[in-house]
Amino acid sequence: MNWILLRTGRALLTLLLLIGFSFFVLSISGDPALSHLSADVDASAIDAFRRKWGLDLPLWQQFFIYVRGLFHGDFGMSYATGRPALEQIMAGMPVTVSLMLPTIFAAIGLGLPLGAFAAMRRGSTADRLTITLSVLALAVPNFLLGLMLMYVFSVHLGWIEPSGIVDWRSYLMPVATMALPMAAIFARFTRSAMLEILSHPMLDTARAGGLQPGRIKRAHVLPNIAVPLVTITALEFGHLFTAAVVAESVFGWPGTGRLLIDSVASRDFAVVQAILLLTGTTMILANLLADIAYGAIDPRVRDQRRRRVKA
Amino acid sequence: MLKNALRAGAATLVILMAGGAMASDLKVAVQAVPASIDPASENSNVSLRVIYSVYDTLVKTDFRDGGKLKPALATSWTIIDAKTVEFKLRPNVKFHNGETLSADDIVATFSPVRIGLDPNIPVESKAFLGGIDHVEIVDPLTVRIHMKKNDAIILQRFANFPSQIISAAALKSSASYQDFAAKAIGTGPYKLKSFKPGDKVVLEKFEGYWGEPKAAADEVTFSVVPELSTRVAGLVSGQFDLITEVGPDDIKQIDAGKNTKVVGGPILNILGLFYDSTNDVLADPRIREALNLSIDRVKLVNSFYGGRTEVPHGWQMPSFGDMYLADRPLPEYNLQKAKALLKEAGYNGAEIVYRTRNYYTKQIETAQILQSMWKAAGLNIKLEIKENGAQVFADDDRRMIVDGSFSAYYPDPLGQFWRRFGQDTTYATGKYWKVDPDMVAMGDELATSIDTARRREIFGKMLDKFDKEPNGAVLYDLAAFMGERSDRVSLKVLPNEYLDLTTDGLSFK
Repeated sequence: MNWILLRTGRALLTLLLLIGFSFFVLSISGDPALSHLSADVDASAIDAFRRKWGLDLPLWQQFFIYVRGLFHGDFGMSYATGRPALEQIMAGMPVTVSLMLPTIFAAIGLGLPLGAFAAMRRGSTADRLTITLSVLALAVPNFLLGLMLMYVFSVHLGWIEPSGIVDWRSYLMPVATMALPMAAIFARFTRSAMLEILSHPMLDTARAGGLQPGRIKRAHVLPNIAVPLVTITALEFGHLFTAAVVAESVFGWPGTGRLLIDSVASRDFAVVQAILLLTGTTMILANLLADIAYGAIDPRVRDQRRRRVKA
Repeated sequence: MLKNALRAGAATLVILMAGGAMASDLKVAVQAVPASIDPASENSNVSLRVIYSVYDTLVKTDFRDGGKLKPALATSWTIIDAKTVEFKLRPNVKFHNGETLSADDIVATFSPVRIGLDPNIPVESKAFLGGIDHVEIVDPLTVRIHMKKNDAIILQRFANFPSQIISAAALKSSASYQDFAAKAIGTGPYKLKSFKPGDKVVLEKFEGYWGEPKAAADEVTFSVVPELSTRVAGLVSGQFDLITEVGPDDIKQIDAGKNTKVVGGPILNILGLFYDSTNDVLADPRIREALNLSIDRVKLVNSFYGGRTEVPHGWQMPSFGDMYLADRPLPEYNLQKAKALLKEAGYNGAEIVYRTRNYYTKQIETAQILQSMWKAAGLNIKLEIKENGAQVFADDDRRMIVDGSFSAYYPDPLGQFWRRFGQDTTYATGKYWKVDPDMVAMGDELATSIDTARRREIFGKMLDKFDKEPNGAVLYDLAAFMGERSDRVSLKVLPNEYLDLTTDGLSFK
């Protein structure tokens, strides 16, 4: 119980720091009035803009109003549209989630077996090929990968429309763009975690005890690589959103990632802060779930936590 | 048998109907859509592109006929004096909300809230329409617009942005100005079907359109595709019929395509520089003149655009008509003279900061080449590349040279040169410079005189004075290029950021 309280407290503190940090950094990085209005506007229009959005108030007062609003579920209004920031984000969220979910499944589904396969055949051509491909997938920036896919499948072959959501095929290129580098991470991680376990003396004992290779893998190898894999999956949630930002911009998808780019460029503070808060919360929850999952997966962690609570 | 025949017939009909509908649906990939489709709320190329189809002005500027002013929502007009113009409105013109155009709509269009006189509503129209005193209703189809002072371009003001006529009923029935702006009710050939900020604007043909030419497409979808490479891929693969903001580097690739080509060219807009002469280093006009003399503009145009755009003859464009001073030379490029001026001014190599950003086509590349041209004259230029306009234009010690566009909103020096360098402009009030009293006097006469010969003379004198004490520099005419799917559509571009989607400007193949 104490452990959960500690973790929750730490999570709240992180969120608070995130809110404060993003608010003040954004505030000093540019005047939204000058970003939203053209260079031709009269000074009175700039004043009207600042008055309308409370930007004429001292910064501390703006921060206070913002935080008070958060406690009432009010994330502020978008300067660009005059609509609630949350409403705008929620409109793009299904698009982003519809990219993130298949990506994470594809990345795990591809990376895990590949990594395991390479580890089982350590030193073979297949192993070397896996490593080379994963290094390549990691080294190529997402946007370049996206453009390369687009060139092949849209421009050259004409199979898939390059931009927006037209039909199910529209998912193929953005998901591949996001999933391939991530699959490479999973493959490399799985491979090294498996190699470590495979060289562990307990496997000699298991073999000496007469266990079949298949049973050894299921009962000893896979459970042991589960903990680091859960850790990396939780960490990859952050990368997943970053990858969505790139994929949505490259493929012209109207999701929250592209909204973040547009909002940062135009200094649409409320929208940027709400997106940071939501992604921050998601990251924290993902890590919290990973922590809880360790206990479920690894009896040693469970016992350790129990001992700590008793002490 | 009969059942099968009927089924086949129905299927054919559906295919034909679908084919027919698709044939005149236009898909346009744009880099952005406007945040608002209210002309007074947004002044940007992405907005101009859309509002041209949704709204009409009282008088129409016919860009295909030398910029001649022609009847539009007003059938006739009389310039009563230099401060007053009377318009006879066209009867039976319908708005997209079904209302009929009347004098009340003209009053609403130029009401305080829409011309920037409401201190709580930020609109962008004050610089253009803030001189309106009031609108008088003579009868339901006659209005008289009174300006605060004599206005040399009184008719032009009502033939161009942001004088597009809106519906009084739409304004009155809206809970807030923002709600009104979202409705986008005009009298134009297209009406707004749907609008998703940051993603899509869909227009549909307005069957009740009063005039000719009519809308060419049944439906037009502007989809945001921020990446240029994706827009080009979308054009090549056939997903889009038109794409906007094609860079000069992509022209060759698009023109090489079997079904794609590039349209467009110079527009009524100049890429130029502003000098903050309140700064110690740039306070000496000789240093500013030396900056101007060191720029080889022809080289800039040729290296970036391969001759697809031009260097203007100073702060003016041929579209100015009677006010165009055709005999003025191109801006001088004279490195020796620049060096001599710097020596005379005692320039000691002090750092001059040039702040820029990646907004206009080739903006950063232009800045980099300028830096090296200035270096050849002995000027020490520090280039600072910023993320946004707010950072570039921030009023601080390091604001010395910044760049921007000088769009000719009216075909007159008042719509370009004096709109930027006059004493009431954002730049003068934003403390970039103090306008010389002689210049102010000439500017006042330029703005209020209706004697063309006298105005030409004054404008010439103003340009001469500016050459010696420049607060900025002409670089080159900005160019706008679009990619066209030439097997499906044919677009006749206008010399500005408007997009003509009527049968005059667009046809389907």
